[in-house]
Amino acid sequence: MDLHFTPEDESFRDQARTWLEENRPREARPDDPVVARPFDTAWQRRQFEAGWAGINWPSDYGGRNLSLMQQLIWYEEYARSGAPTVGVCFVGLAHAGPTLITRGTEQQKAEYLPKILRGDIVWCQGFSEPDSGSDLASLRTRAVVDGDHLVVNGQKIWTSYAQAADVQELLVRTDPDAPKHKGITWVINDMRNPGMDIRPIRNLNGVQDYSEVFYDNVRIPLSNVVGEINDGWSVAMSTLSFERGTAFMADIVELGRTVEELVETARETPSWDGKGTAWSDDHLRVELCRLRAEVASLRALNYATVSRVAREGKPGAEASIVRLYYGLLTQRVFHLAAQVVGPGRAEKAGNAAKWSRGYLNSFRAVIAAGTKDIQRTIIGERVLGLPKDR
Amino acid sequence: MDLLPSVDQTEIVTSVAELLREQASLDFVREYVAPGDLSGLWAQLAELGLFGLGIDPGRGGVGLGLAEEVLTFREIGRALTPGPLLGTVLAAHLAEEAGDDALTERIASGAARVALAEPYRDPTAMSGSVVSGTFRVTDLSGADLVLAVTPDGAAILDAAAVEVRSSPTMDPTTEIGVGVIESGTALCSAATSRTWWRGCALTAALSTGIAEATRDQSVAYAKLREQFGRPIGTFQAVKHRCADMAVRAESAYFQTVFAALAWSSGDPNGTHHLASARIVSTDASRSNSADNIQNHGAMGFSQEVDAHLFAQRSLVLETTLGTERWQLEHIASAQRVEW
Repeated sequence: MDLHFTPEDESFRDQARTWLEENRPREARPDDPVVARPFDTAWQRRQFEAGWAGINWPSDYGGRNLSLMQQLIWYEEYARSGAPTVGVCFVGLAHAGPTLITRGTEQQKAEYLPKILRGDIVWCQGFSEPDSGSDLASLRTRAVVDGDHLVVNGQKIWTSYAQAADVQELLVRTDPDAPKHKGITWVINDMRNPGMDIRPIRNLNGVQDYSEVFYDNVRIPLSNVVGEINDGWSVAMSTLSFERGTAFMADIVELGRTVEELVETARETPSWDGKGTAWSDDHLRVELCRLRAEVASLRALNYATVSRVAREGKPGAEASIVRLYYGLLTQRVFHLAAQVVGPGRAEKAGNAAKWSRGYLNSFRAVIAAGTKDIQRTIIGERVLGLPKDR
Repeated sequence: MDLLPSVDQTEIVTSVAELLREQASLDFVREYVAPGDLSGLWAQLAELGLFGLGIDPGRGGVGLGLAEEVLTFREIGRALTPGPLLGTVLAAHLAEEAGDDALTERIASGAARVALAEPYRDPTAMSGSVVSGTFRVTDLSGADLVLAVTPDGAAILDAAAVEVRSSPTMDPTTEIGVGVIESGTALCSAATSRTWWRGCALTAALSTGIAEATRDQSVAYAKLREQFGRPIGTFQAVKHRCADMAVRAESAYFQTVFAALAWSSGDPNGTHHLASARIVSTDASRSNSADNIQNHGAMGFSQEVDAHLFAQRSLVLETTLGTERWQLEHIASAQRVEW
């Protein structure tokens, strides 16, 4: 056990802080993914050119080949600087890229990884289907081998950034007769293939950042299969281990900063009786401090994840503990924020609106990457070893 | 940066855990009613070096650090080991910091047992070169010395100088008494907060141990106990409650480790981290003890299983070295927490 950062870590942190302070975009990021794409990819390219992309990715593919600890330090400094979210680059950087690093062929890695880091290519996910949400392995989008291609028919849903993406991590059913986990294939799909139809969906905040995607005889070269045909479930589990384990480390740091911002807001907001501030209200101050304590423990869990990855190479099922806790805490932070800002929470304009939007948006944290109930089931069965009920 | 224990650390902890499992099982704890006879166990713990784990080898200690002490106290928490362990370990450190080598050695060797005294509903209570005020004293019977600790100071007194009115405790394995201490002469003292915060680190470790033991007890029971023809652990209601217990135990553990390491390495935010560890681990201990009773159903409400022991000890730890409210206000005192 050791809390010390190495001198290399410390100097890495200093350099990251200085560079971010001088280079982060000052203008606001657009909400709509199609409008945001040039903004996000230009910012990604700027980071890449200065050597700040793929901190822990192999250097053969444009990464820095540094530790996950340094990747986390980058996220901490990134959040501290107030730089905009990675936006449409998220899927490529956070889980498609790491999946290719562990499971892709040489050719796939050489083709895609440098482009992800340079911001030349945008990825989206194609996992969920209308009838296959929590029960992902029941997915039915069908693919049959035709010569050296797969021919895909079916439908995906909740595909974030589909309209802005170039390629997709797509799960298809290649063997309908095998047990449901044994007949799935993970394949890279070009979003410009003929036969694709993308229909954006409006989320509860009115933003169209995800879509339904329809496939009508879409042809994908077999060379785009990652892992083996019918072995896609194990590849998907790698993807999800990154999605649940390391992909949102930056979000955890951001949540800690959000709590501090809420404390600031409480100091400036009148209390319910007008006799003081929300911070001088015992009830609210106590609850805010409880959240301060809990986000601190979430940061400790972040460091624990880094420690485990350093020893074992990748995040384990314990990642679901962090994911679940992060989701629950995110909801509590914004729920408390509504009490702190008081009646302003119902107004669409004004300073309180961003907290109310955050509250509505916080449901994402307990639904995406597996709902909170699915995370609890995973913890129960894979971490604690409780029996399955099916 | 590595929050996981090293091979050496794991070895030390395993030896303590094994001793406690063999010599101080939950059966032993159930039989023990404070002040019971601890002499056999005490000698064995002393032989393992438990009371001088973090003390310099030149003064009769083992020469390890707070990390090893935290890991050990987590095991003590799991095992619900009774007796004045916390007061004794803290007093050894105070004596060492005060430069009293003879007293350090006496306590670190286990030759002297030290009860823990902390302010009880008395904001004017103080400790240091002068000790005065109303204190809650834990496990005074059989103790040779008393460690009086406040957030600002600490002192070691002769146990004969301390008189308390004991009343039955909700946790039958802990003896608690309340009394006024007015003593001008401490065997040694310090006007710093170090003893208080070191105690908070170890208390958080004890609470973490309870959170983990109750999680494990619930999981084991949920695998065995059958209703409607299958183990109750197959039902989401039970499985998900166990998952929530795992989240609490895990966050309490790593925050406690993080805070202990930060504080002992001189981090200026060390006490903030420790207060956070107390908040998270106290909640984990209380909530997991409660869920463990619930998971055992009617058995949990009886004394047939051990679930009640954890809930009862939890009541004691929740009020050890600062109430939750005190810790929360300490967290509130940070103008801005850096992220």
